[in-house]
Amino acid sequence: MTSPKAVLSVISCFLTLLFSTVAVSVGSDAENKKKAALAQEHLERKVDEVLEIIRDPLLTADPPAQEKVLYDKGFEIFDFKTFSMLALGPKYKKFSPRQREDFILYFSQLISQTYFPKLAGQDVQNITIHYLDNRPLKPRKNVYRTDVSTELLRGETHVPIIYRMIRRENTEWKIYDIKIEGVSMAANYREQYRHQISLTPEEIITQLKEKVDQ
Amino acid sequence: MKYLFALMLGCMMLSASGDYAVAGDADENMKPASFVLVAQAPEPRTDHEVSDDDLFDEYDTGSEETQMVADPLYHFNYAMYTVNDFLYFYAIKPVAQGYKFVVPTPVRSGISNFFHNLLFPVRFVNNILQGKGEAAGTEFCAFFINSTIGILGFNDFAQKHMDIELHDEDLGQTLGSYNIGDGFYLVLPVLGPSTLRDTIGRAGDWFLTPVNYAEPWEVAWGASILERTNTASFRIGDYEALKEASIDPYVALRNAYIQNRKSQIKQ
Repeated sequence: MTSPKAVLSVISCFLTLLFSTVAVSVGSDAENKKKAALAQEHLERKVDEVLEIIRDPLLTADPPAQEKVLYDKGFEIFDFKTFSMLALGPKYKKFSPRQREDFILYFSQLISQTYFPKLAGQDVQNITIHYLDNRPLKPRKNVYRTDVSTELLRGETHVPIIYRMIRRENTEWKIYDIKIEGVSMAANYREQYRHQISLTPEEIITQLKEKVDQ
Repeated sequence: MKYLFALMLGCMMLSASGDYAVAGDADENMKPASFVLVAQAPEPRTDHEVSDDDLFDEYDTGSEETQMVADPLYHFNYAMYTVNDFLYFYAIKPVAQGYKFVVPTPVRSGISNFFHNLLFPVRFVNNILQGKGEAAGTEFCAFFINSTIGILGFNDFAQKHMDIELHDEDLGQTLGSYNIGDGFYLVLPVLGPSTLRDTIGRAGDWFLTPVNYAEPWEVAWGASILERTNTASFRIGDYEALKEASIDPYVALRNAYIQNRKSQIKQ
């Protein structure tokens, strides 16, 4: 025989449980949103710093110096390790720790030497960046990710760019992939490496190094 | 009617892909799993050597980025890619650079706006075919405003001052939105990367492009060449960057095209 009181307490217990889970999930959702907003703020700050370097009249007069400054800035902004992992895809597992380091080094060089000089040569007066949205991705193991959607206006052309950002424990937010007009750079490299079936990690590194040295 | 059309094309694609799906491209002979038209689920992971492994499922499951396309005409496509690459560096780029040097940016922008406005029928009809009534209405508004206040479309008044946003739509995207797959990759001479589906779409859109009805044909051709040169003048350096930064430029371009189209269809 159960008393109405017992029934009530069971119900209230359930209700408390239910609401507490809702509260927790809402709380973490809000927290994720807050983190995503922080990621965007961080990105905006870093992009402004890059634009400042490009606009700096002293540096503009000395292109090699400017490229060097941009290069250093690049390492501050990009998470080349994560970028490399995604670029290699499943192949990354076949690399030894030493080989991974080599790959990350040459890969970061390839990216920076291809794109940074182009950045330095830009007519910056004409560039405006609109920050449109930030979207937190499901966090895992103290690793947070956010997609920050932007639009780059260069004269008449509008280029939609999504910066995919990551924050690991005790690090700042960094960019690990860029999607330009819907094209993910990391996924693009992944597809290229997927086709290099017969290459060993050592051969992949050599190939990359040759590409960088060209 | 819409569905009948979609169904017909769907059947066509299916029969076409059925024939070609087994071919794959030359360097893929060792991996039959990759001939599938759209991305597929990968094998389940067994080892946990990389701690960040499961962090990036979305890259692995192919839900988003790892888009693949069948390339049964690899040898033809590669030849066309080489031809287009040559054309870019020895014809399109020098012409576009000269054009950019001679024609001031505001004029080039005006020409770009003019051709964009002229393509209104393509975007309008495809918005309707995709059931995007609101977008079709917006297109109509923008066309009306730009053609009048914007003086024949040379000024994109609607986008600039009225906060109207337009999205590129074409028949290839419409077919894609009906869940019709790429079919296979196809590199068209001069026109560049495409797929079976997008080539069919392009042919359909041709009839909705006013410039193509210009008489005599020299005017139509001249307008097309002007449009292409004008567009290229804004994008000098983009192709070079993609090529320089890639390990395999052919695959990089193919994948970039597929990813870009997938994202356009999703919009």
